[in-house]
Amino acid sequence: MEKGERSEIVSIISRKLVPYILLFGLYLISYGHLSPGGGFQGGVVLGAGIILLCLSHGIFLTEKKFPLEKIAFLEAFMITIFILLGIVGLIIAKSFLGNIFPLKKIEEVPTAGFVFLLNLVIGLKVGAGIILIFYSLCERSEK
Amino acid sequence: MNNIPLFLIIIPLFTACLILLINFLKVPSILTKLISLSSIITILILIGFSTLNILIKKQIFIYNLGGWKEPLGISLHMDGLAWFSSLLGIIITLFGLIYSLKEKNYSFKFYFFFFILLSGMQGVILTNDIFNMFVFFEILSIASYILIAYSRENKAIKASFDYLLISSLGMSLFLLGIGFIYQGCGSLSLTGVGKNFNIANGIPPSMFQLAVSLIVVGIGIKAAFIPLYSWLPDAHAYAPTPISAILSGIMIKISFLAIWRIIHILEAINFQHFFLWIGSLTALIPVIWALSQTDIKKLLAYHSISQMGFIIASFGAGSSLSLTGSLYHLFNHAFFKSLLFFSAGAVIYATGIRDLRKLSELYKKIPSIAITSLIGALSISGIPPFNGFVSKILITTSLKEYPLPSFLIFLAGIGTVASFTKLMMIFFNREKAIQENLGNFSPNKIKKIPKALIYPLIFLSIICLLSGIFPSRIAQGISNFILLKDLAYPLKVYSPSNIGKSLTILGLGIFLYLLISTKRGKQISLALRKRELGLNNSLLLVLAGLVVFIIFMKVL
Repeated sequence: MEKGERSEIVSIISRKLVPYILLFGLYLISYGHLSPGGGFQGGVVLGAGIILLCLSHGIFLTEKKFPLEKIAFLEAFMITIFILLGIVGLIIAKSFLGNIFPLKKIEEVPTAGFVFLLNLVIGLKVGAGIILIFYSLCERSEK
Repeated sequence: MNNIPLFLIIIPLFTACLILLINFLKVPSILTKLISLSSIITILILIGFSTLNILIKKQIFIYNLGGWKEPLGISLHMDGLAWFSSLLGIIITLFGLIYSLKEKNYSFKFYFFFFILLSGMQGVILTNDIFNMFVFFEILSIASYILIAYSRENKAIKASFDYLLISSLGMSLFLLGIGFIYQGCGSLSLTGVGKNFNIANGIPPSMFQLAVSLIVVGIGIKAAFIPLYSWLPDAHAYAPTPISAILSGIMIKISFLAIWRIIHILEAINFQHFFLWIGSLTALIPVIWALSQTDIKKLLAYHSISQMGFIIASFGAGSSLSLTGSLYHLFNHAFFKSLLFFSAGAVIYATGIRDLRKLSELYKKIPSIAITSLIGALSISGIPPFNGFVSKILITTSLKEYPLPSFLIFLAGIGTVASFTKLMMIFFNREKAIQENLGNFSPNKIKKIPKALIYPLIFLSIICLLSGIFPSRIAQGISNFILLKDLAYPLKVYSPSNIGKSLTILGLGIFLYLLISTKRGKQISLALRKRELGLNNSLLLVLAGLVVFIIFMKVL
């Protein structure tokens, strides 16, 4: 294969694979309080999905779909939301990051309370962070 | 009220995030500055609210994170010592912020890391959990690596990288020490560690010694005592000026206060006594290098280490008077060192030159900076009626029983006077540049200094003067309210013998300055200046220091 030529196999397989990787990332985030996983791990998987797109289709196409500015905004927004949620917990549940939802018994469905929301915020923040790190690494090497 | 410790940590953190967020909304940069200022002032007001309860009613604010009580959860404690260092940190940070407002190069990223640094510092002071302390130390370190390299000059990047490697080594030693403590007593909260982790409770002595040495060396890299200080001069000299002032004024002291707290909790009395020797050597040796420096900020950075030596030696002596002297000097050093760094920054701003040999006769061009620098220099040299005099007298009085350390400290005082005479010569000297044939500096090219740079200098000078004029009030206050002990010693700072002592040091110091400005002296300083430790040697020195600390603990 010539240098710079795109392999059909890599391209097709990664295109089919990325949605499932993203789905798996969301699964890890949303079941983090019950099974192995959680916000950080799920976020890394989300980021890895986008990084796979970058590797197989090139950084320019990926940046069109996932522009750097929006990802950076998402990251900053999520960390602010996290602290705000903590303050809401402080006001309602009398402690920083305290649970603001009614707690149910273990076998009922919404068992997580506040944790799911925090995991989601952390997951999106970490995913955005991983993508940003990858984008800035790519920028450096091009110059 | 009990939520105050939490707010002291999350307000800076939230401000940092907010600054990052509003950057995307295309708002004018003045909003960033307004948010920064109002956040610091809010914290100041919160600390002000807590004053009455903590100092007068001797209450300790305890906040349990997430509502979990001590053995299970992390709790934040705010007692007198934490109140003191938190207040000191906020005041210096406020001045640093005012000083940096006028600078156009500082983008939102600067303010973001500035507040992360502040949050880390508050966390280290307030937390009562040793692992949480490690986490906050890491937050503080990461913010400071980036801020040191902010100017992106080669020297700054190299200084920051050296600091990163040395400090990472230190932090991993600290983590190892925490591991030993957790293995030994199964608790991470400082209260639990103090109760359970001692030799009387069945902890093997070797484990206790190793854990204490690892922790002290790990944090000691940030507190910069001998032999762990080799990263400091470059890092503090090449950082942006407000950051130099914050690092020198507050960060090294916060690390030292963390050591203070851990040693008090573990009751390692032998170790505390060892600090008397460490401190007096730390006071003397960097002064020798400081005398040979030609860079303004590097000279100041070496003096930060030396003054930390005074503080540490006085802490090591361990009596109520010496502990008061130690805290008083810590308080004073925060103010006069940031005053000196801000003045040096203003000189560099006005002239664009940081080499002492190229500057001369600045008194006529920038008289206000000359006066504030003079106040700073008089304070650090311990000349009455400025604050350095009071705390140095307290320290020398309390070290009377130990002849050799007090002699070392006396020598360090002489060196301090000499090197600050050298520094002040840039304001009052005549045509030095032409004499030495170095001059590409013409006195006409001086830029006008904006007011935002001068206000912090004036406030800091006033504080330096005021805390020197009312010595006994402040010393009694520190002793009664913060250390919770009565100051047994009748305090009479402004006695003729003390003033005579300080004038002797002044005379000897000026004599030493005349000696080093001869031709022979200049050769020696050139030779000294070239002999600086590289990164490899610094890392080796840290490990050697660790070995020395462990051996010392074994012997005693």
